[in-house]
Amino acid sequence: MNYEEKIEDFVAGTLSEKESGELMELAKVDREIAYKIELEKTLKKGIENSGRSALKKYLMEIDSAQTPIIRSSKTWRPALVAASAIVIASLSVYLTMYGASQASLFKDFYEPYTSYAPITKRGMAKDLSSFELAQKAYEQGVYDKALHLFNSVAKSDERDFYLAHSYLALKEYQKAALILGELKAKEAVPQSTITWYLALAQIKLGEIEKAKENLKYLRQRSNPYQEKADEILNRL
Amino acid sequence: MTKNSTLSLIQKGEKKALEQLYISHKSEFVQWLQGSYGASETESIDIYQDTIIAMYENIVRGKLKTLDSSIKTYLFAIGKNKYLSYQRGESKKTELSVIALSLETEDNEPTHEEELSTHVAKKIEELGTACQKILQLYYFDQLSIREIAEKLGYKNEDTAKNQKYKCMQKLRKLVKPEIPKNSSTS
Repeated sequence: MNYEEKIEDFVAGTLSEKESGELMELAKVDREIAYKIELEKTLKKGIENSGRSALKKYLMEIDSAQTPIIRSSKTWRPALVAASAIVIASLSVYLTMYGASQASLFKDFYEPYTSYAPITKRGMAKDLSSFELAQKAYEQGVYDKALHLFNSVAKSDERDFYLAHSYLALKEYQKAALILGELKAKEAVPQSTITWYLALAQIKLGEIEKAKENLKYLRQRSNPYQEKADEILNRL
Repeated sequence: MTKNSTLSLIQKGEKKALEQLYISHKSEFVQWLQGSYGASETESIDIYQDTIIAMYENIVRGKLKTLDSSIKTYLFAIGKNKYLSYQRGESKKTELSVIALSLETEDNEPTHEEELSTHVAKKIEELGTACQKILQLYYFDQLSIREIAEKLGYKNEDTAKNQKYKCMQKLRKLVKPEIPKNSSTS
């Protein structure tokens, strides 16, 4: 085992006690080794921060994947559940008789992407950046304004992500699918949200085989859209 | 599912168990924080998410294996501390980072070190999803190489280990030129 591997194991906490002791003794007299140990600790902390960010995004995705019924207040929940049951029952009859149409599938599952992003968290910043202004317009449901503003800020994955969602909300499915497809191809995050909305856009565009591929991708992995993807696949 | 089997599943990397835990306590937690402390809904959701992350880290690091109290009691205790800490303004220095609230598992550290780790976190984004995933699974989710190999579909442990090594080398190259040697802390 070379020193790089030893240092990596030491920082990960998997190096034996004896070898850890030897390494620390060496670090006292070798500044290069001492520096490498500190660098490795910094990398580990950075990766942990990155992991927290990823987990936070995952939790946000769970929230955005929740239906309005789940997010509704307790007072209305029983009535909404009952109403949903009637809708689902009616839908089942409809589907049995006529089969699932693409239009109804989209309508049943599409909800504009909801973000708990920094713009609305913990108080509102007074001086918003152009991107934050665009994000605010999107969150307020002023999609044409959001689209205009997102188009005026520098291109980034996050900008494109919101741009695609603005197009989707404005029923410009072709443009939305194009952007979401690019984001998916470059493995941008949040991958499951991108894939979910891409699949919905493809359903709307009648690209059913492509949509199925994306839904299968979601069904095979643990993500907030897994069950919904399975449900659509069963209906397609 | 019992509370301790939930902890065990989360410890093994079962995201579905974490998702269920997150959903099942969210509404009550948010209402409690709003009602008892006057927090806004957005603040309450944010604090709840940070609370879940803190609990998750305690589980995967082996600090929380079993619970004598209920999961709800545990979550609410962390949540209360987090909100009071937030109110005291202790989290202001990390406000730009959505996740960087001081966790119970962290000690107070010099600001420059926090800045360095934030810088590293940004560099990790340049690595690409595959490298991000394997490094996060190893260092944050604390999965073993064998578990990572299974989860990510690598042929065997050696392939996963080799991939992790390459990703770390890539990250070192990205980060090293920007971290001067005098930035190290003993």
